[in-house]
Amino acid sequence: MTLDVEGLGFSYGRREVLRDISLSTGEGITSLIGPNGAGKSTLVKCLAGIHRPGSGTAFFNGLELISGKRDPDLRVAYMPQDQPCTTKMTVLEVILLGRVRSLSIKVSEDDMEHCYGALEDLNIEELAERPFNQLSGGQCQMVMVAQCLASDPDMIILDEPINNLDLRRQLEMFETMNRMTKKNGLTTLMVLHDINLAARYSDRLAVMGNGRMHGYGTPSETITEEMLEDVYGVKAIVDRGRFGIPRIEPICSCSCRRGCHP
Amino acid sequence: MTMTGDSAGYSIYSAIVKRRRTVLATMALASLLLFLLCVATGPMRYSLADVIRTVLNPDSVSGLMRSVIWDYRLPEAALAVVVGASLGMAGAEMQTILDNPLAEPYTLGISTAAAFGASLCIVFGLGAGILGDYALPAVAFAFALATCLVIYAVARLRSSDKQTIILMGIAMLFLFQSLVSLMQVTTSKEAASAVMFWMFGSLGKADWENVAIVGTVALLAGVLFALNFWKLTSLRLGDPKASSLGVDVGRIRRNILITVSLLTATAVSFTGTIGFVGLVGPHISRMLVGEDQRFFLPVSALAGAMLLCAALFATKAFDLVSSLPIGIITSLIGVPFLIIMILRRREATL
Repeated sequence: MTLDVEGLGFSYGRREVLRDISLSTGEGITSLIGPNGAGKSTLVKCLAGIHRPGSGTAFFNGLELISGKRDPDLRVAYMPQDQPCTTKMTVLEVILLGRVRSLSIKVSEDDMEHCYGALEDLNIEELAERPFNQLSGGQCQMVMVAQCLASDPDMIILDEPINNLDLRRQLEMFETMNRMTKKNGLTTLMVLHDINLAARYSDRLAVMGNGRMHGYGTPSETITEEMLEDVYGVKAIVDRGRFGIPRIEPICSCSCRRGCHP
Repeated sequence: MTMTGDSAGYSIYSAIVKRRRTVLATMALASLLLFLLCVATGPMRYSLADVIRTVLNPDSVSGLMRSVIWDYRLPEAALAVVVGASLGMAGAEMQTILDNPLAEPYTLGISTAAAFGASLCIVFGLGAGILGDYALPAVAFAFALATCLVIYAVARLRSSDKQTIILMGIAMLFLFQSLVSLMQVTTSKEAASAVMFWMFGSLGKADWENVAIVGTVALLAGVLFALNFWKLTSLRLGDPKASSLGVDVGRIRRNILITVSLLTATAVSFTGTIGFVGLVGPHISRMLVGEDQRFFLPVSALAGAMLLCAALFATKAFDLVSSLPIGIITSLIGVPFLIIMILRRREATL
């Protein structure tokens, strides 16, 4: 299961957002990190089939990913960053829509078991009958992740999946994604802002800045003080913990004139 | 994926579906009852048993009763059902594809365009030489369809973006409202009042041919909607999510927009603009069965049919036939009903 992106470019009108993006990654969790406006969300929208890139190619396991030419056999689940939670459908119905391609007029027991199973995997089965529009932001986010899991995907793309979650839910989310990714041999792509959590729970990191790919590799390889300064414009200390997982301690922005960094 | 042995998810879901099926069946029965009441009521009042006997075995009743029921009452009530159902479905799908609870055929100016076509026919006799009695519905239909095509053409330039469709629709609405008003103030009093009467809607010219045309279009549109039930339901999660689920959002929005326009244009070309049904029908449906299109669409159709039947029944029961057009009655009945529904709305949908 490999994702191969080659020379991808995308523009909103005349504004170039992605330039010559290349990335090759396989099973496991790959997190996209980078500052605001780096093009992370735009890249995952291109891979999810929402935007059609102006140039380049993207294949998953040899099957075309790009919108318009996308292979119908591809099973890619995507959770958008700004999912509207306005529908009055019950949580179970929202999750069921993850399987929209295979649903017939009568919902099968198997379909429903997958949906309820996804709720159980995330420990949120008590939400099954609740209207979606009455959930908190965090619950809404958990339900959308459950929808992705229920769709039996080969690849899952989550755009900022822990934004609205409390600390416990953040950890539960990562633990579940870790478990499901390993168990089902998935390729999971996450857009994350928290570099420490990304380093702890990802197999690989892809660092983006200013519409370009700046680096790709294991957390230890990618998270360096130089990268933080170049890409984020931040002075920080990178500490290697007990298990060799890098952990950053920010000091100040590079534009800081008070000389507060050592 | 964890699989539970006791089918917990399926039993929860089955209970939800069972409740919705009950609502659907109750609505269908209530529609049938209202339909029969409409047929039974009029200057000559019949019992429901008489009506059923006449429908099932026309030869067993007097010639007068047979003629009144088969030639006047049944086509009129049937037109109320098919037009109400058409407007209910049109409103439901318009609200779905535009993700806007205020959307209805009227919002996009389609009904008003039909009114402009009808007023051209009434004031200038447009098409009367060639089409005779069919001139008015044909010209109304042509204008409604042309308006839809203009909206579609402009929206296509912006990837069928829903905001563009709504804004274009509102522009069309104001354009045709102004043109109709212009014609009303510049023409004779008789022609102006005829235009106004058409704009409030009427079932007075119902015949079996009209019922067959509107019914066939409604049935075909219903089949097209049914083929896209799950895709239409997934639009409620927003365009990006629906696209990622494999739904071609732009294409489905265009196809449904054109179908809704055909449905509305056909219905209003025979009855005049009947507002409110397309707005309130889907709202009643949403409160009763939620947003799963498998239930939302048929219940919207039944709610629309019931509203128009109730309006027809009220005009006949209170002898208002000659004085008040049906479009006014639908609003007078529908508004209090909608307010009651809003006030009694339960926290959770079924």
